[in-house]
Amino acid sequence: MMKSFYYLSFILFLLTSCTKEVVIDLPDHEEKPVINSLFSPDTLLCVHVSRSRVITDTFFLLQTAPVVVLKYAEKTDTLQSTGNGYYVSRNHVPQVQTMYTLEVFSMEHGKATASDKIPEEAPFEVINYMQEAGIDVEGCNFSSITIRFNEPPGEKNYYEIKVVHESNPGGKLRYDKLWLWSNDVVVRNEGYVNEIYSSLIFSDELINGKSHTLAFNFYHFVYKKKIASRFFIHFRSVSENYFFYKKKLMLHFENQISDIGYGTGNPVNLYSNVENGYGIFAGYSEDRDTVTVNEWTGE
Amino acid sequence: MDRRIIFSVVFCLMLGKVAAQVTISGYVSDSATGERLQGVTVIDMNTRSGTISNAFGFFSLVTKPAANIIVRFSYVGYKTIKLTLPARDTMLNIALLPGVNLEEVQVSAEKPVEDRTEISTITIPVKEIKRLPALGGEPDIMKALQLLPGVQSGNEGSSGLYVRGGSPDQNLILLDDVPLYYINHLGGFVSTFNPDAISKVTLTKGGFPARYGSRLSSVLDIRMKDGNIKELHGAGTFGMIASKLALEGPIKKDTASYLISYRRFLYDIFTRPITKIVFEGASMGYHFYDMNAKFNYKLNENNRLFLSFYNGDDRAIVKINHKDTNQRAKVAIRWGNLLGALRWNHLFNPSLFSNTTFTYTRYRYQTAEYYKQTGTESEYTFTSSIYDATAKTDFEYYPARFLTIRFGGGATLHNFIPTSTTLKQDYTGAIPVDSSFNDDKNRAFEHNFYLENEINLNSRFRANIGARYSAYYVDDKWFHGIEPRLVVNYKFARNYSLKAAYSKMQQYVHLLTSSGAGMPADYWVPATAVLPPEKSVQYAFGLAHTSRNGMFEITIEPFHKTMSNLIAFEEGIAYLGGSGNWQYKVDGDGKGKSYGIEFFLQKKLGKSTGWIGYTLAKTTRQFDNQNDGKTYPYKYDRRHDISIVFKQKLKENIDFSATWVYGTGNAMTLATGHHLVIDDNSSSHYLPKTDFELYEGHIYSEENSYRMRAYHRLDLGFNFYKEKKWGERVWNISIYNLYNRQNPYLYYWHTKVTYKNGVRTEGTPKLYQQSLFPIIPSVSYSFKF
Repeated sequence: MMKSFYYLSFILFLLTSCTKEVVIDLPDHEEKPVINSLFSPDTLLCVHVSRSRVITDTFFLLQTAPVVVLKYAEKTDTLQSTGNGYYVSRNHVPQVQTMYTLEVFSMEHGKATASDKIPEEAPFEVINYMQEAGIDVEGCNFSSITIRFNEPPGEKNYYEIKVVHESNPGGKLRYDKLWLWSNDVVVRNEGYVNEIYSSLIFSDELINGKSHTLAFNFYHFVYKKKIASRFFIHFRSVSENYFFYKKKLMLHFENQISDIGYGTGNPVNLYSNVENGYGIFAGYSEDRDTVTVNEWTGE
Repeated sequence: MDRRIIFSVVFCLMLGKVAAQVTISGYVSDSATGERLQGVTVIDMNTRSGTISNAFGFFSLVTKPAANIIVRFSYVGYKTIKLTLPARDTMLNIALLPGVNLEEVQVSAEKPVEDRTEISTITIPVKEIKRLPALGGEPDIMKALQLLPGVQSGNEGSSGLYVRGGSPDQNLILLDDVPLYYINHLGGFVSTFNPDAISKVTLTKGGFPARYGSRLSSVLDIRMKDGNIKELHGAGTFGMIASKLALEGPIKKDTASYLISYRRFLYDIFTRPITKIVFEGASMGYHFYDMNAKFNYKLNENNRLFLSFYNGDDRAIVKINHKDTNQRAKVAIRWGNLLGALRWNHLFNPSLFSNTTFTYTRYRYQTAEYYKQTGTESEYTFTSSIYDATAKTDFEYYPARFLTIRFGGGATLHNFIPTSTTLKQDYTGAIPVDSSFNDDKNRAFEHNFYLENEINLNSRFRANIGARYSAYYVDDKWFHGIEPRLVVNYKFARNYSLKAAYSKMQQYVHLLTSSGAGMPADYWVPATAVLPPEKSVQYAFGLAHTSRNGMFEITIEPFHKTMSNLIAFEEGIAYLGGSGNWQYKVDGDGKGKSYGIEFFLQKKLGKSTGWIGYTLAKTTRQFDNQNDGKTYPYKYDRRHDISIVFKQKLKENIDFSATWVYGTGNAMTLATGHHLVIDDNSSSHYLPKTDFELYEGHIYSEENSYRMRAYHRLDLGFNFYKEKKWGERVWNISIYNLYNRQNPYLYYWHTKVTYKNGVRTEGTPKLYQQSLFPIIPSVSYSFKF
């Protein structure tokens, strides 16, 4: 009996020991400044500044000189450090269709710059909310929201949809960003959709100058608990830099996942508009709408 | 003037040779099954001139007249026979008796390698494949081919074929002369070929004869069994991966026969009812199947018809039926092939044989989602497909003993639908959505003509000289190509020959493989004006030798191949998910280069048989818009690749086999640096905008500039045979990865986080290797009657 136990243990050990640490020689890493900012006309300009590191080191903070903002190449503001790499403008709210340039100086790495502008806001309306819009492959119900917007003709436009769910379990407000997916061809046409994402991003390639109705799905488990809640739908008009950055960021994260079941994807390099550095400095404007969920009366 | 004189002299000399000759022709078949035998050596013992029977068992031996012509028919595994024939044209039907030298390994054709014109060509009989160790107890043709030099397997367990640095779409895979577009099941762990329905497999890696075209890197010619024309027989297997059954027999004895086989992955038969109980009305299942059928009908001595059919699919289905909530849903993903072929063999005269073929082949990948509830109905489908209809005819003409001429032509109508998406939504109170987006259905027309001359000038010099002309019409644009082909074999000493080959190839279809981490998907797309046909030029050389006792055979083959117009998704695109101009989401200027040397040593006779294959090679790719335009190693570039195959007959009723493989680790792109990246300003619009969502983004090395650890593995297999009253049964026991080598499948960085007394401590990122298959024993039971 014990003998059988040992044999069984040995077999189980063999079948489960599939991951191991490996050592590899890494080249010297050339550190560069990193700028992160997605700015909109709703708030004061805020930037996070850090530095790149060799993969085995996680200390990203960077000592910098003041971070300068230029408006049409004219210095317009100097951001103030608020700690942990954040730099915030005291009073400058970015304007739409205005070209901003950010300059970050570092004694070690020199100057890094990035420029972008905020596109015009794109209005939209929610035309339908379905509490039970379908069932996924694991038998879970999902919900759906349908929106409509008019795509202006002419220049290339880019959009992003994100949804925040507000609920009040136990008398305390709670906010959750929802993970979205859509079978709409305008979204799928972008060639990144295979999973669910924290936002949906797409261009007007197929709908330039047209009115478009778009449905997207998400999981919404709270309604089964009969808790009243709200959805905040953010419909963003984003710059080209924002679009390329987010699109590659989604694939970048997806292909970082090491999953035997899903296999491996080709690594995707991040998009950056920072000269002499990494990161993103990109603008967006957004329209919002709210869907209030009535108390569910089902099971 | 001089040229005319020389031509006249040569013509007269040839005419003189042609005038004094007799033709011995006919068919060779297995006496027990009536199955026509390909590759039987037919030799005139007086002149030592010879020929080999073709894919339909036909031979035509043109020789000198003599008082008695002695002709020998030999084929490994069959009793050799000699016939004495009169000095006149003779038509024969030869039936060879099986059962001799069964323990001999049969990795090559029967003629000594140095006497065969071809280069870089290997034939493996299916019964040899069945003797090899098998993952999950399922013998696999593609995995057996991966043991040959110059052929890589790709990822662990995969049935992919990467031949001399080419990608899987560059293999022309012919099942009874019909191209198959997709050859994998179960994510690549099993190929679509059911060995019970297959008679012979021939792989050509270089020195392509002119009759083959449309792909750059290899030709895999797979022939289905014709079906036993004498009596009813059957075979079946219960395995851990799939079970199968094949039946064959005469419809009319010695005139018409059939073969039907079916193989299926069975686990869903159990998972569906179980999941229905566990998930309250939701049934889930995955399965694959292959169905082969073939009918052959001998109209008379000069005419024969063959009808072949194959259908194979992978299907993953989830069905939900909640009666209490009135909800119904179905999600189905399926992908696979359908093909059919009608072939007509016609013998015009003892020197002219023809085969006319009409084929249809289809590959499609489809995702479908359906949901219905009171007041709600939605449907989504995504399809990517390719349909081909082909008509072609091939002739073999034997005008003289030193010359065989093959010529023919064909035309193919391609129908491509790279992507097609349909979305319908009908919700109460909302505007219904009914939208369909399709890539334009690309119709393309391809036709070709070829001429091939197999010349045996004397016992030392042989050559196959030919050319292929192909033309392709798409988007109101013609593409033309002339593809010269040359193979030369010079036997410079007894049992030694030197070979050289040149092949230019052109390919009119591209394969885009999803580069994301999700569900793998393949999109077959046409060459277009934006993405022109892929091209390659390959040079191959060879030294071939057979030991005097015929025990050992060795080939050493250097090769050099360049490829152009290769395609890949542009960076940032992982799928063809919708519609519109897919061509503009693809980089189509890729270049590839592969060169190396292959060693292949076989032990062909005796109780212990097998081979050693070694490849030293380098393969690169270059795209203008990828890796900053720099050349980089191909993902499956392997500097060293070794395969050792050993087979031993332990007893009359027990076979043993072992395979050991070693390969340089796959090339990979590794993150060497990292930095913080912003995903959004905050998790909610109400939070202060200074609360960014920051994550770690990777900075990658140059593409494929790192190597995984080396891959090696030992597999063992035993076959236990027992005669029964009703036939024979075989127990197969296989052990995959005997010494449990943890071969790398993927590498990833991971930071361990620990909590102590409520304090979170993050370690430093470390590199981990994930392995796939540990030691896996398996067993299968087969029978035949």
